[in-house]
Amino acid sequence: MSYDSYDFRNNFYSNAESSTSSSNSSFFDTFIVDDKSNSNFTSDYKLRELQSFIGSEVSLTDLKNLLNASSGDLQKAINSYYDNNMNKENLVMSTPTSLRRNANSTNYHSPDIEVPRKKSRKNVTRDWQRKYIGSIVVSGQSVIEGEQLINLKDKITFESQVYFQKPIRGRKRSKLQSCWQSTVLKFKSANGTQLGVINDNRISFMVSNLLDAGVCEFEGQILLIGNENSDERIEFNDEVFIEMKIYILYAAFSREPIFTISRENNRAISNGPGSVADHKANDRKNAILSMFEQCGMKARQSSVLTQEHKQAGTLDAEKIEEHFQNERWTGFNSASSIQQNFFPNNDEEGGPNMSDQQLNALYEKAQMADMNIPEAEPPAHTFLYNLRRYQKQALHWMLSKETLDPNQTTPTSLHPLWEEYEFPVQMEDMTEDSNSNKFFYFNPYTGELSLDFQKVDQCRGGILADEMGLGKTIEILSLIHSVKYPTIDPDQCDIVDLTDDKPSTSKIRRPVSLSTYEAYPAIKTTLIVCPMSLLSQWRDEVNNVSAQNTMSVEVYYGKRRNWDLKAIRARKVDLPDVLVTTYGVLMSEFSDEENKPATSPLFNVEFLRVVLDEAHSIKSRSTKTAKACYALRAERRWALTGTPIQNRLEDIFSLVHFLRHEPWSNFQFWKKYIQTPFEKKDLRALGVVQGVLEPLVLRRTKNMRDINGQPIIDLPSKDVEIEYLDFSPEEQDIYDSIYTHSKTKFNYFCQAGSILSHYAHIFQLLVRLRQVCDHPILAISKHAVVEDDDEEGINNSAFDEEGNLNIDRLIERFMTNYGERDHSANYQIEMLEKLKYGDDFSSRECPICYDNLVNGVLMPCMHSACRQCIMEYFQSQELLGKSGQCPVCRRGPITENDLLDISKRIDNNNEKITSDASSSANNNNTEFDDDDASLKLSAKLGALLRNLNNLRQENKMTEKCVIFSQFTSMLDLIGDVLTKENFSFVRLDGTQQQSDRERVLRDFKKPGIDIILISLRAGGVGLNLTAASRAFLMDPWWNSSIEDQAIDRVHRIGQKREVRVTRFIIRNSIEEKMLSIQKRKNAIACGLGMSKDELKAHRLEDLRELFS
Amino acid sequence: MAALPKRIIKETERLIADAVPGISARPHEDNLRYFDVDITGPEQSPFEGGVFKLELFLPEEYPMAPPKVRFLTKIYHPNIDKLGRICLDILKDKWSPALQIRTVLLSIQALLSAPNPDDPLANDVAQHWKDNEPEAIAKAREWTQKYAENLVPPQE
Repeated sequence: MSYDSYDFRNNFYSNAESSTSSSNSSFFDTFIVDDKSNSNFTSDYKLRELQSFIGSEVSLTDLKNLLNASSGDLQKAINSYYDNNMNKENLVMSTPTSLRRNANSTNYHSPDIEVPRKKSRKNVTRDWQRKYIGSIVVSGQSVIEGEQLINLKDKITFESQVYFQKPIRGRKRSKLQSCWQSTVLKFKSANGTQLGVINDNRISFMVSNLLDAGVCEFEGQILLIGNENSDERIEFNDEVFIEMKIYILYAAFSREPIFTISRENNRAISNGPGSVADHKANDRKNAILSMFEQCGMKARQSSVLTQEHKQAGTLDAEKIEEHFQNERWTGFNSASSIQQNFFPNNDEEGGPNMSDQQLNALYEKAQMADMNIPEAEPPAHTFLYNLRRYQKQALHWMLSKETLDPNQTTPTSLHPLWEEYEFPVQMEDMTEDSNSNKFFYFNPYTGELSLDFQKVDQCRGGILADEMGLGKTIEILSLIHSVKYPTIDPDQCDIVDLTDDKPSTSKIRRPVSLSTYEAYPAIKTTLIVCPMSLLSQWRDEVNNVSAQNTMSVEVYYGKRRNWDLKAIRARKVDLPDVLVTTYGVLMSEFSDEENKPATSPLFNVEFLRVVLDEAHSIKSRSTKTAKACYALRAERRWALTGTPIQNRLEDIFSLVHFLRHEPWSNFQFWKKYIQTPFEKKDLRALGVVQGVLEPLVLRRTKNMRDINGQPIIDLPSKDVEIEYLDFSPEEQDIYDSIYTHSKTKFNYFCQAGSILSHYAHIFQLLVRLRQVCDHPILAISKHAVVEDDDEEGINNSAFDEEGNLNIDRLIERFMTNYGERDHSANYQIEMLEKLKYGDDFSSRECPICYDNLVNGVLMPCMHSACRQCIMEYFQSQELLGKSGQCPVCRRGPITENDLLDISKRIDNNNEKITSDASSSANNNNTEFDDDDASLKLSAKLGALLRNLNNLRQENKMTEKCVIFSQFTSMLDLIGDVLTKENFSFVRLDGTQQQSDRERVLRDFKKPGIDIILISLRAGGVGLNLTAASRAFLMDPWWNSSIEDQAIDRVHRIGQKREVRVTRFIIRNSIEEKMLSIQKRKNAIACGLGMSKDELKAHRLEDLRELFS
Repeated sequence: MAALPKRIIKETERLIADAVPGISARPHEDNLRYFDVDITGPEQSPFEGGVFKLELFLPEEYPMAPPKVRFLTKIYHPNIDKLGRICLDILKDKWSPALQIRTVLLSIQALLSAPNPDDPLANDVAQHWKDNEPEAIAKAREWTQKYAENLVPPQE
């Protein structure tokens, strides 16, 4: 075994800048010679110097190792030796992976802060290199022949060799799995001649993996040769019985997590199966398990669950994953990516969805106990708000979660994922010191071995899942005010005196924890991560609730990010109490590759606590954002979300993992106990989840009642009414024609059986119908070829209403007509991208005339040509009796209508290319010909105007209004109408910058501006519109929860007036049908996850209903 | 006659500037629509070592209509008749204006490597190819040596 050069820096706190060694530096400098030159000489020289400093009790080899480990730096070596209780064995231990991870953190050692190790008792002495575990008898085949070749009682060594065979073509298997591996275990005599091989596959697998992983050493002795001849002669292929002694090596025990499986950087979780490191780790783990089994080693202490797992043989995570993968693959229809787009709930990633009923059941249990929580008061002189009763309860709950429960940190509670084993005593070991380790610890889930006792980590934090609008922000801020500094008592328990609300600096004796990676302890900073749109809201809230100068807040965002890690370390910067940043920033500053450690201050600082707002943003554990959040360092961790589970059970796991709620945060564990049973429709899984969630989640809803039967929050009433409208005859005509056409198409597709793969197409039609309901002009194209010779009476091209090229419709069209994905699809996508970003097409060459494109047109397959050239070609084809096709790829048939002009349109309309998927209409000001008489009001516009006029007259506009629509073009129209009628308004939509949005919101609060137009999506997230008390929803959405969220912008804490909401629906139109679908969706009890077929059937039903 | 279309000019330029190995196509001085073509027999085929002369003509409707190509060298091949006419789909119904002289000649060269005796236009050669392929191949080789120059490969 060779030793990697070991970097001392990260285990020893020698600070090159500290004053103690500065005086030495000049002295030593003279001795430091360039290593490259004559290294032998210098190292000898240095060795002698080192020896003279340290003394002669340390052996030369150890000194040599020390020197090597310090990369030849004399000064460092000496410092290392003196600074710490240096263990000789640390010189020989190699744990390269952990070091790489630490490479980014420079040393920080402040003389007044002690650094306790968090979770284990150190085993200081080491006087053994290997320990006997057990011995087994194996049989092998000899490969030699002759006399006097083998002596019984000769020492035997083992060596393994791996052979690769032909790769197997597997479906999506990892590269490693696709090769067939076979190992051969040879045994040799002491002088190296090979004597034979062990054929037992299990044994050879085990031994070779253990050798590879550096976990064990093996020694053998021949017991018996199984042949009839005399003992002296051995024949080829004789059976040989060997006693194999297994020793476990000291080096196998790690101080730090091994490979890439660690708690904090859990690759096994994030990357899923199949990476090389995972395989190796898995093999190692299985080998160790096998070894224990063979030697009859049983755990002294082990949790019940682990025993069950062992029996069920489900500790092999790979098998679980594989099995899972296979199941996934049989179901997954990779051919149609449309399904992905339009079945967002059926994402294969995390398994089936949960029905609303199930969600409610989950929440219910968590909510039951919550009514009885006592209340806590925030520090009155710093916290200015008056908390409501339920908020005080929340504060109390959070405080208790953050406090370590003294009962749970007794030393005897072993971490449930670990097992304790005792080293067997053998005669040979009697000479060892009696202090040496009697026990060791093994984690059968990850394969880690350790000599240190593994304590249970407590999760200091939880999920604050109050419904939207109940004031989670305030609750968290009250928590921050209550505990600004950690307080410690000597037992390392953190007990906060709840009645003491003066944070006094004298209580700071030590930080609660200093992670072993030496993150700078930002002991009083709380990090808040939120979506971008809420950045300023948080900052403002902090300032609003805090008395002057009691809480400093900074925003870490954008170009002016100014947290300089060096400055912080040098203590030149005063850290704020609250730091707010966004998920986007977090993600971009995070690097999860080992070679490129994150240099961002966000990840090199240990915060007092970290809070994730809208924590459902990290529901997918494999996203970079999620990984970034996991990597944040803080003991106290909180997640705020109105909907902790949006769709899938996996959403919860991500939060649990973030919170480090052991052992559920271990993915293997979660999978075994929750995910897999859930997918198999085992009802107990829900029970388990409930059990997990209950201590973690606090959830109250607006309509809950407290202990006394009073509603916990008294919001003014919310009145939602639907105003049914009728089309004018002209509108009716237009609607009818489009409807009939759509219906025909729908039926056509229905018959053709291809309805679901043309979902996009149908969806497009539906969108047009909905637009007509808002205003016909949104759906009509001026340049539409609505002629009879076109078999589809409707413009099926990618032109939108203004005859402008609309990329998304292009995409839709592309997907519907040419949905087969082949490699030429890449070309098409590339072209679409180019179009989207305004590529200059005038420089392209026409494949027919070889000239620059003149009046360039695009074919549906994205190949381009001059209009004239193509038309000529089409004509010549016609003469031959053939239909038009693309000259390059022969796709067809194409008619002139299918051609898209690209040459000039793009330049003019670059800005007009919209990316709003929900709206297929033009984004900017729609230009209406002035010769059209003033804009005719559609039914809805008329109704809206009526309502607004009523408000203006009756109430003198004391009520501010919010108008929601999904179609920004509709908002444009409304804006025009309002201007004409002299209403003053502001508008907020997705295209605006953050600063613009802030300005709009501020303006809205001022008197004089009474109306705000918001696009439904942009308005959904966290905005506070309580200045308004009237809301108009111009058009319905498929999902009533989105609408509810929008209404909640107005109807939330802070609203003082009655809220009235009006939804406009056109009678006997598709909108009515949408309403009934909404109702049905809300009421469906899906059962434990519908199968794909059931889901499909539902979609089909929905569509049928729409077109009935 | 109309001035030569830009396409033909460009194609010619490119053919000369960037020649395909084993194929040479040069326009005739008198008529720029008429090309003298030399194709080297592809390796691993019975036509190996031979250089075959062809003529290629771009009709008026080009590129809407395919070029007309004909073998001038006698060749024993199931898809080429005794007059040198070639049975190739892209020269007939599968023509597309996106194809060009270069691609046509490459296809012909490929046809030499991969004769297709199942073509309905099969003449006795095709029949021979099907009945007794080794013999037919030998004959093709014989003809190559007899009729196709194998001294000087096409120069550029």
